[in-house]
Amino acid sequence: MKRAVSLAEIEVAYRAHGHHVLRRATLILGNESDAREVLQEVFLSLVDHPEQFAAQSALSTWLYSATVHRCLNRLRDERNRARLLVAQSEVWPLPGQAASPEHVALLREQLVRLPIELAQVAVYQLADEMSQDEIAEAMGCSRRQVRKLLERLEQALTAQRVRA
Amino acid sequence: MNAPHERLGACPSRLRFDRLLARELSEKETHEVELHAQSCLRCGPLLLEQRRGYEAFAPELPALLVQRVQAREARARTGKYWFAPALAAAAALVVWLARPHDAPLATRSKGSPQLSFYVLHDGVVRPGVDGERVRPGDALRFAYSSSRDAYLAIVSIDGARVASAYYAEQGERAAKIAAGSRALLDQSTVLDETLGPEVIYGLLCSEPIPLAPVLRALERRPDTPPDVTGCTLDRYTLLKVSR
Repeated sequence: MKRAVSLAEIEVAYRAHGHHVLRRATLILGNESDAREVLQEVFLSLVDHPEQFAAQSALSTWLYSATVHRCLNRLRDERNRARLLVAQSEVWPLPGQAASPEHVALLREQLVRLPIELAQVAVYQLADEMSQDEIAEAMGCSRRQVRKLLERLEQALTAQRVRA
Repeated sequence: MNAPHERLGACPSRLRFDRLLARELSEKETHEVELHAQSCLRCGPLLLEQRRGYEAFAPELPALLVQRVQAREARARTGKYWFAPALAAAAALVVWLARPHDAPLATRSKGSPQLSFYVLHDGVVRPGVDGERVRPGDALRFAYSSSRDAYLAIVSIDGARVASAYYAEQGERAAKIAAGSRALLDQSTVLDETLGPEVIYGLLCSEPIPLAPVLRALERRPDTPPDVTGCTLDRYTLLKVSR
């Protein structure tokens, strides 16, 4: 049976977590207009498919993962890519806006080129400075798998730097 | 390849800060993160910035989101449905922490209120308080707290001296509820066009009391709260004004 999320429940979840979803999306996409669309999409997804969040992690962690995933998809969408990359260059870095804006700024175009799981792990680690345990929880995988992804990420970023 | 904070040793991640602000961390974890931020030149300003952003965030639900939830609620009303425990717990915690602890939400015959409610007005949900101004078409959603399984009835007497059952088993008797803290009821009530004061009573009872005598007594003596043996009573007064 599919469970329904009530308006009161979604309202308090939005109040508690809306800001960090918006901040995260703004950080990755570089503009608040797109970030607000992602904010709405993430919560709509929670309403439409509440079974995605099976309470196996904190709601914050699930929302982080959902937000990063949607933002990366948006960045990688050919229709958005050029516009968003230009927008980012205008917006970045905002003082105090991001944990490590320089890291994300460097990753901006690389995120588009990286395989999706490496792009995710790049944002988690370099922008959010999440621990390997936190990344494993967000990605629903083992810490060992996270270590492998981080090794692949380092190789991929090194290769991109060499090509540049 | 280690994250910067792992290289530094103990700096929490941005996720950790967000979980702190969303009150998802335990008391011990909260203390550890705040203690670190107080003494870390890097994390202190970062947490302050995140806290400011969090406090400035206007939590108005997007209209599309409200419509989608309402559409799903309407469909779910025809069948059995249930709630995500973690979301309900988060909701209860956030509402409790957001509420001024010394401001009673309702008057109660004994002890602290066990009934609370939310008001949905123009797509925005707000926690309700005693004396709340509401409008026809607004929807009320109730939550209860009870340390044991019990029976709950919610009744009202409106400005036209008409008594109604807002929450009851088949409209006839108090409905069985499970023990819970700020547990949301699975239905909402849309307010009608009758203007003026409306008094709502929540009766938490040890037995499934019949409601017909309660409603009749309310219509005979609108200013007298129901007095039912075995029940504790919460009372809210609403003022329904025109749109």
